[in-house]
Amino acid sequence: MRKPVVMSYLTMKGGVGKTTLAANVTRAMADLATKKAAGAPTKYLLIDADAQCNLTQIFLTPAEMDARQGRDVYQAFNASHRLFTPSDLKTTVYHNTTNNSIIDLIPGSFDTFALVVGTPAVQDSAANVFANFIKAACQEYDYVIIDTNPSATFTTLQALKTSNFLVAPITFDSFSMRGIDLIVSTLKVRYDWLSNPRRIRIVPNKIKRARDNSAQLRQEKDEQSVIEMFPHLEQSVSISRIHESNFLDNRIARRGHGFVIDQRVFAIHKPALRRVGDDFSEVARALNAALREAFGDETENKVASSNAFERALKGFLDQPVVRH
Amino acid sequence: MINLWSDISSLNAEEFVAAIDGITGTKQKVKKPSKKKPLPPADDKPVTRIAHQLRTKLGLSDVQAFSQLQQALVKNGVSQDHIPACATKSLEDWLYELLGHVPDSKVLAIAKKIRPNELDKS
Repeated sequence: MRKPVVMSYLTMKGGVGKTTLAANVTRAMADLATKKAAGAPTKYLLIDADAQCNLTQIFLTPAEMDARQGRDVYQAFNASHRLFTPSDLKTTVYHNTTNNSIIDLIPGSFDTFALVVGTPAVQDSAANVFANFIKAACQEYDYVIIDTNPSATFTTLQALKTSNFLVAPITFDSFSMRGIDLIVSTLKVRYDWLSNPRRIRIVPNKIKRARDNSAQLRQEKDEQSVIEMFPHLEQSVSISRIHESNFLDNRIARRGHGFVIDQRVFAIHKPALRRVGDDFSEVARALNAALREAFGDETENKVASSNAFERALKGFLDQPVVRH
Repeated sequence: MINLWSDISSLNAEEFVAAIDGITGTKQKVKKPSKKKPLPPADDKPVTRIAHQLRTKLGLSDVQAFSQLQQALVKNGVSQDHIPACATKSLEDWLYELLGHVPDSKVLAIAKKIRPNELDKS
């Protein structure tokens, strides 16, 4: 049985597109998911652990957020009342009826800011409650995705403590890469799994589309020179990337408009929006492959079974004939 | 007439035409330099980049690319179970299927390590 995947989306630099990626790559993963046998849904849980609640604002209007007070991520840390499970707090934001994949959201809360200044006893208690919450989430969901604050706050550290995979968007410059390197080198002492480059996926974001092959070559050279500064992270850097697009503008991505590819646009803009969707699909495919490499694949691997049959048949046919 | 001729004869062709236009009030249309049609964006998808590495940078045929990359993947610890069969597929289709099982960064890094002298031995 494959280990449950709990992935944190984290950067040290704000504005690189962490929250937009967390939402829309998860959507692409849900759309790519293979339908499970016996009709069981493939389930993804998005947790907004950022006190700024950017992820929540993608799906809920301010009025809807107000209505959900007391049924948000703060309760996942709060031991003063009863212990909450994901089912108590979640709201479904997507259901793909073709492959029966579901994305639920635990909305964010400004109240999590209070945990930053809590006493050690309060923080210890909150940490335990959250760890149990994530354990419960792993029983019910195939993937848990935590959107964090771009700094080493209490909730960010708890996200990393309970995670086993890191997704780090970067804009392709040495400053962004240095931020990732800092997270890994500083925190791997505390969280051992960060020492394994297979548990880290660095996704280039907001990349300009090259106009021609020579511009493309210049871009690749620039990227290579950044990667060469951090050779231990080379295999963690995804080749698939998200390109710059007006459709990813925060003004559009928030205010309850939902996923980027569901935006209503004029017919003339549809090809450009489709390209954005293709980018997210490519990144999701690459992320799925990285997760398989990191954790193995519990589902029947069709490639494996067909290749295994071919090899077994070849082995049988190649056996020497034994005459008695 | 003689005075007019002496005025005109000192002008070059452009100046003469401009002077006539000034008198008649008509302006010649200035031809704007035509904008070059923008090229379609270069394709930086993982499949395209890996295929480019194999075909253009290493000079491999598709058959050699299949074979060399498979060998290199296995040599670098990729399980045979994760490598799809390539019988009737194009290189791009096969790479697309491969990247569903092996991370794109790993495949490109392995493809970049393939050396021509290793090809001669195969």
